[in-house]
Amino acid sequence: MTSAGRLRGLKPTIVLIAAVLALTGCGVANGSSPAGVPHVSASLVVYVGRNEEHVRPIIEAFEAETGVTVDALYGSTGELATTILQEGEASPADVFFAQDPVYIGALVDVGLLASLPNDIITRVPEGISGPNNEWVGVTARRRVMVYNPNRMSETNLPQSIYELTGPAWNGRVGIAPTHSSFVSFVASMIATEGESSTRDWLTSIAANSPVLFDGNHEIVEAVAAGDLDVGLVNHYYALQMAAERGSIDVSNHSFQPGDPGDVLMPTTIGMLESSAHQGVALDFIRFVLRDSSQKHFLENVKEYPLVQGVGTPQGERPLDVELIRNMRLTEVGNNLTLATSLIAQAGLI
Amino acid sequence: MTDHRRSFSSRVRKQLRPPPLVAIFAGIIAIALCLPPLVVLVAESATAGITTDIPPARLVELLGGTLQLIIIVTASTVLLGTTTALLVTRTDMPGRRVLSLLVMIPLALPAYVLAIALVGMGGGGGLVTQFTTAIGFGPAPVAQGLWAAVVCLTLSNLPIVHALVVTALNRLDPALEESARLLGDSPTRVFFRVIVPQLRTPLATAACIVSLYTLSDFGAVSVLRYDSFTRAVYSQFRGGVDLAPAFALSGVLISMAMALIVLQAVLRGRPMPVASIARPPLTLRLSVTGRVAAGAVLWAVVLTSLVAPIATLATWSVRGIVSGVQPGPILAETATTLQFALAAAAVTTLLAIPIALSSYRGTSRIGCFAETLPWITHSLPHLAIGLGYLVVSIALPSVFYQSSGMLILVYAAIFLPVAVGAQQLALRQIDPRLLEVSRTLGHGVWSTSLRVGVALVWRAAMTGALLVAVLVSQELPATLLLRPTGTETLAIRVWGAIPEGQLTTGSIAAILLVALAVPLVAAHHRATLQVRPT
Repeated sequence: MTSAGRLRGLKPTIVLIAAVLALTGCGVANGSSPAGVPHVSASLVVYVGRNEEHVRPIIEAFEAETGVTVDALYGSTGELATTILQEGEASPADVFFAQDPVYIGALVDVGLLASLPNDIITRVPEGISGPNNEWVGVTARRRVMVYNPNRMSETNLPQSIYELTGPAWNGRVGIAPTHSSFVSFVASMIATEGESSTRDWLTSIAANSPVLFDGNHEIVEAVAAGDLDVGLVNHYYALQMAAERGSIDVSNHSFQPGDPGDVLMPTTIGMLESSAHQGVALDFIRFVLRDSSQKHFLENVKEYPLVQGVGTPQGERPLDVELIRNMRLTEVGNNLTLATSLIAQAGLI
Repeated sequence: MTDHRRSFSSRVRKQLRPPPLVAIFAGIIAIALCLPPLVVLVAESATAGITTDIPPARLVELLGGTLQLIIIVTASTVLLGTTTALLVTRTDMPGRRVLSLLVMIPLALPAYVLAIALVGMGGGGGLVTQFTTAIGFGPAPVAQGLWAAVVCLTLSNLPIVHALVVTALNRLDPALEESARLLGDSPTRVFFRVIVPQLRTPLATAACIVSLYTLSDFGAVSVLRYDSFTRAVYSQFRGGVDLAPAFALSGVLISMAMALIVLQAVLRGRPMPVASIARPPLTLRLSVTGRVAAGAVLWAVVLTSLVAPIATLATWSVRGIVSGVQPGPILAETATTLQFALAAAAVTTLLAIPIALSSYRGTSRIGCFAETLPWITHSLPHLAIGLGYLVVSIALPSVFYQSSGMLILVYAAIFLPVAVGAQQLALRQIDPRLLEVSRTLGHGVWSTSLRVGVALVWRAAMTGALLVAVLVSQELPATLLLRPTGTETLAIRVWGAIPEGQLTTGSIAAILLVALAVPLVAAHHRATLQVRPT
């Protein structure tokens, strides 16, 4: 073995010995555990429950401007919320950037998030924040139904999600039932329509042979390729695809105003109460709400910026703040467990 | 492997007992590393009970779907693998050695890589569709559901069965077949009356390995959207914020795996008789038609399991790069994958040494325990094991949680038996007289172990380390659950690309993953498996 090889072997051995001691419960006295040692370097840990491609440019711009190193953990919002709940006070995360108000609401419920200062909250319209300002909205996305305009005309599409349970749509609707955007939509439906209507709708949808996917993008690709008729997703996929490929194989169809399928959902960001870098964490949140960052979400992601005056995605109706408030933002977090359990009970797992 | 144990152990047993310290150390490693997730899983699924919200009808459906997949994949893989093995060992097919190697290469392709290639072929946007529509047929079917999962898992398990049967066929004593032929039996009769009964043990082993793999598979069924139990476990983990339902389902998954493990232990049976003198077996002279048919089967396997997937992934990658798709920090992810693979291979190999030393003779109880425990952890679905380690890592001091060190230890725990197996094989082949000589020359136990043992086991340990490195680079579920903050690997990228609709990025990552593995698997293939020349 070369000396370099020996050195490489040494480090894991130390870790191993520590692990053996810790796992067998001998040697290390409780008080001497390294758990209490705070991180001192100027670095920030951000859990990102959003598409990595859309958020990485913002994180890189923040790093370049401040010199702060950001460790980002990308994953699905639900997965990361679960992770933070498991980690509790010991979470290495400083900031949680989520896809929706529901999963972050579950963190609010157990008191893991700190209240954000007023200068941050007032960047967005009133009411798009946690009950005690534990999170703030960043952008908004509308729930729509995608279809392939080359294969069907919009006039034949339903006005309400309740129509999707009929025989005309048997085996034709794609959904991503365990994706956080669908779970949030169900939580919002519980808030506006009540538990029993939501349960009935889910059960009827499940009985109507839906095509189950893991993610929204997958649904949109299937519709574009002609492998699937319609799917319930967010509004920006079709806009992104039109911008990237120039071709229009997928269009958005909106359900009529007032229908539970016509929702505008905010993406959210919050800071962990346990964060040891609260100053930097708040700076990061301010950075995300800056006009330049909001413009990135508008132009590259095609989402609605929540900061006023930045603009509206091309072809979309102007931001309707009432539509967001209709979700009953302070309640939806409480509906998370109910929503996931209704989805599972309907057999959509 | 067991046959070596019989022939050497009786002689070695009397020589050189390793100090009990080694066995104790081996026991500690096995307990500390491999027991915690099992305890967590048993405890959590016992407390969770049936706290899942999934209605019983759906559970039955998922269970039925998983069993259906296991049965079809196992049957088709064993049938196809036996066929390819017979064709390359027992016929005079031209080019059979090359073909055997080509059949083995897909070992470097994990099931989810094959799955993403299948996705890239079928459906309205797929490469096969472009071809079929050009010649006037409709679009190729979308690669999803049962048939896609069966094709994918059969092709990805095929090399394992092929290798096992080729090895077994090469070890058969040709004298039995020759006698049957001399007594006037036709080749067909010889095959069914003489060869098949001797293949019972390797075929049973192969069937058990394939069924366990199919039960455990998470990546391919996710990508191909087949409703299996592992996918439901992950859906429960991903959708909800409570781990209890995921553990409840894991309990079922673990029970099924345990049943298969017990089945394997029962079916493993006694070792086969081995040819005392290495001698080429009888080969069947194929007619022209026979050669064409045999060639068609082998080339079809190579085409579908190797050429078509690689061509699809390459096409999607090139297309994406040409059209300016940003594949993300894929080079950094390649480096991360390689670092984890090499670090885990080194740690696993080191930790395997005491276990191999204390267990290769099968005489020490602690050694036997230290060998069996990691094997159980290794055989259970890694998604369930990963959930167990997730809970363990949260309970440990916070330096362990989401740390590279923890992930490497988990890899070591999961893949210990691979390294142990390679080392044991070499240890059993050590001529005890060498050790005797060393002792009589005045060297102590430790000095002898170092001077003779290390020198002789070194190569085998490196071969084991190579295999561990490949398996680690391709490991998905545990990596998904336990990876450190900000760390993405190629496996995660491939798996995550599909729900994001990024077939291009997924294909590039898949190609890189295969590129990492091919040289390692090829080296391993050369070291362990040879089709005999005739």
